[in-house]
Amino acid sequence: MEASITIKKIAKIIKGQTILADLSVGIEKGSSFVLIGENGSGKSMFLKILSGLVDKDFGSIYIKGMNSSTRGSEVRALTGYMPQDIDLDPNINVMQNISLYGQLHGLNKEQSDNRALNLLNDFNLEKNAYDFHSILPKGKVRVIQFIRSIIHNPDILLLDEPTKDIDPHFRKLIWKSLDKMQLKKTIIIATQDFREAERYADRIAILHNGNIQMDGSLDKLIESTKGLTRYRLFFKENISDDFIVKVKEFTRIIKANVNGRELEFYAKDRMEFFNVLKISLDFQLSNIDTSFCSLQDLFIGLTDGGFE
Amino acid sequence: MIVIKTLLNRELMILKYQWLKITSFLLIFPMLIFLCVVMPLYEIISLPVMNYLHWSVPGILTICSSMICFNYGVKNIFLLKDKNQHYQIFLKSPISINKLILGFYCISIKYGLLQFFVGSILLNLINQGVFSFYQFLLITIQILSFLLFVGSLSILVGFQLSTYDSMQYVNIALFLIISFIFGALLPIELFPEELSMYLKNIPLVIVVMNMQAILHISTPMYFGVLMCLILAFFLFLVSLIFANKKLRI
Repeated sequence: MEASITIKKIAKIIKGQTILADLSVGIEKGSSFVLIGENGSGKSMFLKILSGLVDKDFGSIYIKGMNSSTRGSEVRALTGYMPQDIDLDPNINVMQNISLYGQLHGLNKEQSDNRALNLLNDFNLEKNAYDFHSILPKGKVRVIQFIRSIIHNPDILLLDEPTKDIDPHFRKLIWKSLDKMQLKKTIIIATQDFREAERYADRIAILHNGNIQMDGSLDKLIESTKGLTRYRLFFKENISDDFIVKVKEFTRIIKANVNGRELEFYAKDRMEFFNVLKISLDFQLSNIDTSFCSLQDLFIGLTDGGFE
Repeated sequence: MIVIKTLLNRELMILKYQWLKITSFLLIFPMLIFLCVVMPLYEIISLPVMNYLHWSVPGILTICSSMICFNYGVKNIFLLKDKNQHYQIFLKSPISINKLILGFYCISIKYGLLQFFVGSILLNLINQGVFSFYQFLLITIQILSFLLFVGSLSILVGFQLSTYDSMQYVNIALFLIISFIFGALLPIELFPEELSMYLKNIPLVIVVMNMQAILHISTPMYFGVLMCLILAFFLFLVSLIFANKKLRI
């Protein structure tokens, strides 16, 4: 597939703190790339750098073959960016906010106004077109930010937590809109919503310590766990120290974690689970749950020292 | 240019909602200077060439329009620098930093000129027939050169200051400098001779004196205007260097 974005060894340091370090990745045209990571892992900074809002300290970025450092204006014209924070102009109304963004990206006023109204209609927000965003609920304001980011029909969409604080109705509309665009545009989303990442992404990257630690399709990422299974055992009473000591004797179980009446652990070999189950029967076991590793498990495992 | 047109468009949108607030401010500011500073000074200062109340009109207009221009300039740069503000959309746009700064520069000068026009009408109503239309045009040229300088200065100061508190101090200082050191409200001749000789060589002071000279039908010194424009251009270039170093980093 044709590469839409090529990032080579970019780094960003702010006040002596490394936010991104030696990060390289290529993103194909017409794909959806979801970036997940802990708070402060650099997801937003990554999008800000791609949007041209912040400059990288090292490395290079090519968008559609154009170097972002030397052809910044052209690169910025290709991207639509929805930030995580509310950044609408409080002095003008919703329609004007969207239209102004379009005008700044080269649309004339009439085109921009028309497109803003059409998009507001698509998202059932036409009634709020002439309101100031300060009187609207946060969810609606976030949708307006999404509309604003697509008004100039950009080739590359950069969305920072696009569905955060948004109710299910609008969330559905946003995903529907993104589904429609998916084949024509390159969409990069930073999120902490693992379900949405699993459902939507063509490719998922886990950002940790300023760099991408894992990257690939959901299947590929799950495959990398090599059959690792998550087991959860529930007890009628709080788990005793005796039981914990016994569980820790099984050295091949991974990340055993006790939380009140619940024991959670990972294991590749099913026999390990049977061994734990055998001793659990003496401790008023009430329920069990097993599941293959999800993206969330993978993420927690990775950011908490890995599954080894 | 698209950026200036878009920024002007935005200002018009804002003006539509805030016209009462903005117009009141444009009327109150020159009125306050006239009532609180010029009227008391009228009791003390007598000039050989003309009535002090008439003489002070270009000074009042210079102070008001400069302060408005300066404040808009600094405020816009503050908002551009603030990563959490709505001005980030301008930095995200394909518009280059140089064009963006030029756009905001034009906006601040536009507000300065707006204050000049509103103030001129107001002060002409208070001081019947203080200047003719021809004199008004000549004064406009002078004030424009002054505003071009102040606009450049505001952008430069905007990049140097980091808090609104420090901006207040600079505002007060600017008001005092233009009002009393540049001879907008106090005739330069009232200063000690050595100091007044020195002050008369400052291009901005020459521009203020030009406006006063226009009122009593003397010929203005266009050298001052030219120097003012050169300084404004130089300051603007320096501002652009700072802008490129401090924005989109």
